[in-house]
Amino acid sequence: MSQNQTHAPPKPPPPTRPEVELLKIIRAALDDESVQRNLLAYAQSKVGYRNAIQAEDLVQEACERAWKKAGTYDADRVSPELWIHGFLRNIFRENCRSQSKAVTTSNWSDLQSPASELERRIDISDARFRVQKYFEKLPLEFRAVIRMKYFEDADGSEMAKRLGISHENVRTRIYRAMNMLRSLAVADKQEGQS
Amino acid sequence: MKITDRELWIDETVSLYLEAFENDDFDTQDRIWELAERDAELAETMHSLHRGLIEEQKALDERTIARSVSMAMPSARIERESNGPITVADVAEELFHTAGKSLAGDGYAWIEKLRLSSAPLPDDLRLSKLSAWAEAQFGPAPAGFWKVFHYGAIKLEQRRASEKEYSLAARRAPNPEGNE
Repeated sequence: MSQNQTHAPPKPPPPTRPEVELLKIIRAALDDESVQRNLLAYAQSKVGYRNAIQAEDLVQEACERAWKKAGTYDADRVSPELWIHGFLRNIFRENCRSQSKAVTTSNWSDLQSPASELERRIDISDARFRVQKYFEKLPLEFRAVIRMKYFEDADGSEMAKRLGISHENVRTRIYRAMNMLRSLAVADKQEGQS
Repeated sequence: MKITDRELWIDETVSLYLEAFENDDFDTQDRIWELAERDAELAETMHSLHRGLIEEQKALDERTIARSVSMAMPSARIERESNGPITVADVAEELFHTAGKSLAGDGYAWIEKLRLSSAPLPDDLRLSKLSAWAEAQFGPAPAGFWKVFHYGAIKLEQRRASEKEYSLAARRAPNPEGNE
């Protein structure tokens, strides 16, 4: 060990925000209409839009839990909206467990890995290949959105106008088509192996 | 393919998210939300997916009701709001109720197929153009089918135009003197 080496004093822990400030941040997020809308959309898309009251109750419960835990919020790590969203997902997770509902895990969760690993595995060159190879095998309504988006370079509002459906609905169709392309590729691979 | 890597990455990630959401796979959902914590565009796209899922449920309910009505009352015609463009399905629906004997052979099987297509009609509705467009989209149909389809498309377009005119004419004209 060199004699010149000095022992630097240990770094002081980063100053934590006073609890009052955290409460203010969370309160503001809870009062934000767009946050409420997004939470409700998550809940309603899970329980069905006809069960609006049940969805509202679940959102209310998530907000109450978030408010109780507001002092533990880490503003440097996550936005308040996504932090509150985590409480809502946990409620659904608990409901699934309490109903002993078999939770189907996709191929992606067997990794037991952090988000960065998942990010690494999202291979866009593979996605590009799938779109080109399996496009013709898609049902007509899915083929239409994939053609417009990936081959004709149409934007969301143009596609919505041409199909006579909402912008959001267009996107949902695209994601379903992507999942179908993935299933076709997996089936093809399995067929090739057998 | 013209799509950028960034757009494709978002589509691929959100499609995985959709799969995880529908399978109650909360671990994968959490990981993707973790990615969204540092990517505002991804987060917004995921929120908009949920709004889209609700609309999808509503559209499905609408179709289920329409199917039940048409099974219980086959001759009934369901009037829909005609704000959007005329689609292939709109014309097929029109022909299903009105074409009668003019649909020969497996014409009705074609109608059933076309009732599922939400593709809007092309701007040029001349018979030759419409037939060429339709054959490119759906393949060759029985002889005379596209002629019947063309007739249905023109009829529907005229009806939509007259409905629009009627709704304009039905508005109360402003009082020139400004009195109620």
